[in-house]
Amino acid sequence: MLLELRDVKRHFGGVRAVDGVSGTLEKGRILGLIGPNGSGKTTLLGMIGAAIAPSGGEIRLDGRPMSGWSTRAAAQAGIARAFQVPQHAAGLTVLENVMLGAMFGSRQLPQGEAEGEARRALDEVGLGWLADKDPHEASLGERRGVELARLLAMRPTLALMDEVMGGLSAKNIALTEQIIVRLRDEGVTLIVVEHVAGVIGRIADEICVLHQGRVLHWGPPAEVLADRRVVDAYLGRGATADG
Amino acid sequence: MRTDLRHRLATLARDRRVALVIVTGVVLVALPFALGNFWLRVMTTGLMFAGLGHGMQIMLGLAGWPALGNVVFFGVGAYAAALLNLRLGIPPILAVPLGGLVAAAVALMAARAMLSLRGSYFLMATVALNFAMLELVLVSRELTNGPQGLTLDPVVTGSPQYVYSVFYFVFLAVLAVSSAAVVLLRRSRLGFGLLAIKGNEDAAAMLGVPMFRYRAIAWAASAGLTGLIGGVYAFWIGYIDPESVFDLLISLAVILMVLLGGRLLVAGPIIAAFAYELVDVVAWRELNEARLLALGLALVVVVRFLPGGLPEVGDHLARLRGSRRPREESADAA
Repeated sequence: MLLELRDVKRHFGGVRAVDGVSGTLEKGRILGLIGPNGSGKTTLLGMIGAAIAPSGGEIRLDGRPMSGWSTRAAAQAGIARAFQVPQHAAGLTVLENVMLGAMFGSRQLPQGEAEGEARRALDEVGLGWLADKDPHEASLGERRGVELARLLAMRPTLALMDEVMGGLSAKNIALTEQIIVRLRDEGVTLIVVEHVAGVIGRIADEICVLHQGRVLHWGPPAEVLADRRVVDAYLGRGATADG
Repeated sequence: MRTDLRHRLATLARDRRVALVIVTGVVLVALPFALGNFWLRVMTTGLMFAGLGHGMQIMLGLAGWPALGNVVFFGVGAYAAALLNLRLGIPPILAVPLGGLVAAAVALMAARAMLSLRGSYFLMATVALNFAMLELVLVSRELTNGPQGLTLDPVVTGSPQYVYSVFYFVFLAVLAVSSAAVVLLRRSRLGFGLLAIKGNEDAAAMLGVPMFRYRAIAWAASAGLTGLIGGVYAFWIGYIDPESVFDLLISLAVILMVLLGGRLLVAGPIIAAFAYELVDVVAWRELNEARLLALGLALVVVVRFLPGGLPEVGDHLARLRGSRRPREESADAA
């Protein structure tokens, strides 16, 4: 078992953003994390990435308790995160931004090797031509692609993907889906937060639906998406597993 | 085909840059033989400020930390080198680098307390550190001679032209070292990490960049270089006092140079330092008491209207030329 959540909580003052989430995730699985806005998805992802400290409960990675971990410790343990709003370093080119993924975290590659890795990752997301540009010159879709390339360059054990497909073209959504599935097939565990339920239905091995900080249902996609409570709370009537 | 062309253009650009560095180097080496004492002194001061600019560049340009009070390390280096020479009899050639090491050690000692601060809080803390060190030197009269300062024996004897030339070449050597340090730092894993921290702290943390360690190393490197230059300055001038070597105006001027240098990490501070020195000689010395006002105004103007520094002026001119060309062509066509 790669990830274990035991009654994980995060309260901001009186707001219970995440309120007792428990569950486990095996290695090489894709977990789709869905739920309405404010249901606690990003906060839960932040806690798994060690960016936010839980108010209660415990998170274990590969059997090791993560309490007190810094984001750096999480990165060194192989946790990579792609953000909802792409996060790039100004002053570095697209290639250099992607190289950071291979140079730090769990890989610590020397620059030459990191550059080769970064070029391969950029080619894989179809953005090799963007290598020498400033990331801020790129469109939102391209910047999401750069973020994905950096995550690929990190070769993570656990990839946390926070709405990385929002605003992408159908072609790029399909490409991102392919990459996610390929990573899973190579043994990477992924937690994918998406608003697009259809995408989650297609790629996830299991789905966790959060509602008001609690797990509404965690199980196989067909079972979860057919759950009446999930339909009422999130998907809306008439929704199907295909989205 | 296109890749080949791009590769050839990149090689050409690199060659031109190498040629420019060689030509600049030859000119700088030849200058003392062509200049009189006055201009030699101006150029030496320019070299000193360019080196200080590189010290600030490591903090501001690479790490993105506004170390306004970094002049503290100039003062620490100057006093450390002078005291090692005067009190322990250590020769200047050893006392100067040791002064740089003392400055780096002070930076590392203060790192734990100061590098947890961000932005303007860090800026204020560096200013406070400068005042604290100034006060420490003032009250340690037995050791430092307090406000009376320290007078050093001449390191080089001979004609003024000869003495000036020696220090010109010493500062030129220091500048060569500082230029190489900035280039190597930028290309190193440390430089990548610092730029990642500067560009996006949260993303850098998520990527596993060792934030505190990298900042501490950058600060120590910046302090060491600034302290080394402070030491050379002490032996060049032959007299130091707390007010002159812990003078915040030095830091302000150096920050202005780094900002004017813009994205040109190595050449930027050098060009800006010589421009500053020329303006200083031609106009600012006439301003006397109004120099602080003029320096403050210049900083405001650069930050507000020229955030990319002098290279931005070049970009504007290039864009103007580019936008004019089609109009000229269409006028011709008409």
